[in-house]
Amino acid sequence: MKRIATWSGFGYFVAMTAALTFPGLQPFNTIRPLILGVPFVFAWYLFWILGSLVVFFWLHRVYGK
Amino acid sequence: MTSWHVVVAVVAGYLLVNLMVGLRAGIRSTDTVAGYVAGDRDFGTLVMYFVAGATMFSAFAFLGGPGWAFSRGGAAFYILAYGVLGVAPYFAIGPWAARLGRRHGYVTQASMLAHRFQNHWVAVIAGTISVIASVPYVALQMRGAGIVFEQVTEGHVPLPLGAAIAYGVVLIYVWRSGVLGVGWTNVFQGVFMVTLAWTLGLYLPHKLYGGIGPMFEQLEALRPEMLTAPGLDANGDPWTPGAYSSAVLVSAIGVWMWPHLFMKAFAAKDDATIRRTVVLYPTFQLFLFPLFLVGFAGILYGSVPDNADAIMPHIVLTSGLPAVVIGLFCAGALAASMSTGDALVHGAASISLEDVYSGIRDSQLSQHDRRTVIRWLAVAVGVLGYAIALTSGRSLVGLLLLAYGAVVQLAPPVYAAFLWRRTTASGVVAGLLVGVAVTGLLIVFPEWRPYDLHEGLIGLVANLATLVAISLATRPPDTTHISEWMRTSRTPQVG
Repeated sequence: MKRIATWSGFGYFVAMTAALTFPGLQPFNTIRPLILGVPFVFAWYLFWILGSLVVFFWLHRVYGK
Repeated sequence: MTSWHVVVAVVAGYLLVNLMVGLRAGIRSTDTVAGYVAGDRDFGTLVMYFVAGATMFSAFAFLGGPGWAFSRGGAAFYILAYGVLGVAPYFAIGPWAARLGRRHGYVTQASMLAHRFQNHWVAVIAGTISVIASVPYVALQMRGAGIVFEQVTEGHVPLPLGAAIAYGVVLIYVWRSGVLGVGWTNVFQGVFMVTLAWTLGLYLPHKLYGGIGPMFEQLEALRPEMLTAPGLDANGDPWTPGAYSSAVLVSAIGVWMWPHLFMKAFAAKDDATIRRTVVLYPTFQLFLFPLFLVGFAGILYGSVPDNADAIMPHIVLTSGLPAVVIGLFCAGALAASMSTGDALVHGAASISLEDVYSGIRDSQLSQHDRRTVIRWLAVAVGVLGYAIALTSGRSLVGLLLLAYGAVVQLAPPVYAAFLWRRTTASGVVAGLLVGVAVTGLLIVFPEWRPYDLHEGLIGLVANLATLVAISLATRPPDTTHISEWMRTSRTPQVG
């Protein structure tokens, strides 16, 4: 389980790096649609931060056992 | 009583509470270097969480973040990107370093590297880089404190005096309590700055434009180029994707290489404390969201400040808020500055003695005398930072990016120490020297950078290539020592 969690976590943060830098960011680098009033690209960054909270929590549960 | 007197009274109250918290924290510290530098390795999750968050997010986030959103638009998103990316490796490396620290008595990352590579020059060079990078960062915090004081008191407390008052308080509690003072004041400062950021960030767009959505709709109509990455550069021209992305990468790789952050692994009570800190860290990172809202609100605002970094105090001052609220804002901004500045001053002073001086000369000082020397070095770092703060013309975030170029060079040796047994001391020393030299050269000749990449990233590549090449070309290190070192790092703490 630790191996799966570790590689999944690693994969998430590699994907996050690609999604928040160019050229990976380009398809999401738009103002519309506004998400809760916020430009889409701004919300895109917040989405990845919130996702990391879930990933970290899962890793902690796995490593805490 | 005029409004600026009320502001000063509120700030004075805040500084007094800070001082009391900081002085009281040191009462239970032992009279040892481990007590002064690593808090007797007894930091729990609460303190570690606020140390991680409040130390990482400083005047640069509280003032520079809104300043960038205001003047450079989507360029500010890079600050959102790197924090979580930077903290992720610490989930594994933090506990590894902590176990080694408990076993071998490390209090700094340079001392850890020197022992791993069995070479005191590694500590001297890594420590020197750390101190050189820390001083402009301290200066940045002081400038932030000074700017806030000057703005909210309508110039009655000028930048030099404001910075001196805030950092006078910092030096007193760092002198008395060491890292325990830093840790517990960070808790107080962290709560303060996060509360202020969320309150003002959500309130101001509603008060000024009728809400967050209406504000961005107006911005989209007037300045759409400000709402997407990579935004604008310092001259107001479009920033390049290469510069933006390399700023994210350098900051993400470099952020936990900052000694004042990395060495907190040696202060943590246990492995679980470090992991919990990483798990909770993104909740702290989210406080950038309201700060950016204030910056974006500034683009539509009728008047502009002289300096982009002053946009937040400018709006707070001119939008009709009560003087008490302005005072609380000022205290929040000072909290952001001081919570990082104190850790930097303390960290740089500790490293100067434990790694740089002790690496050059075999120090025979007693534990008590070493504590005393570190205290005086903290004063020296503070004075040096103050001098730079008063003379540098760079913006807050610009100053920070410059410092990152140097500190990111510590990443290859730290990762190689844990992940590549074949790494040699010669490889590490050569890599550090080449990395710093390349970075320095590109700071002087920025036109030599390909694709507008951050000079620190290019230096990092040169550093890594040199580390690998020289390690493979030199005699392999002692396998017994490395096996024991690796085994200790990977063996979970029992009990």
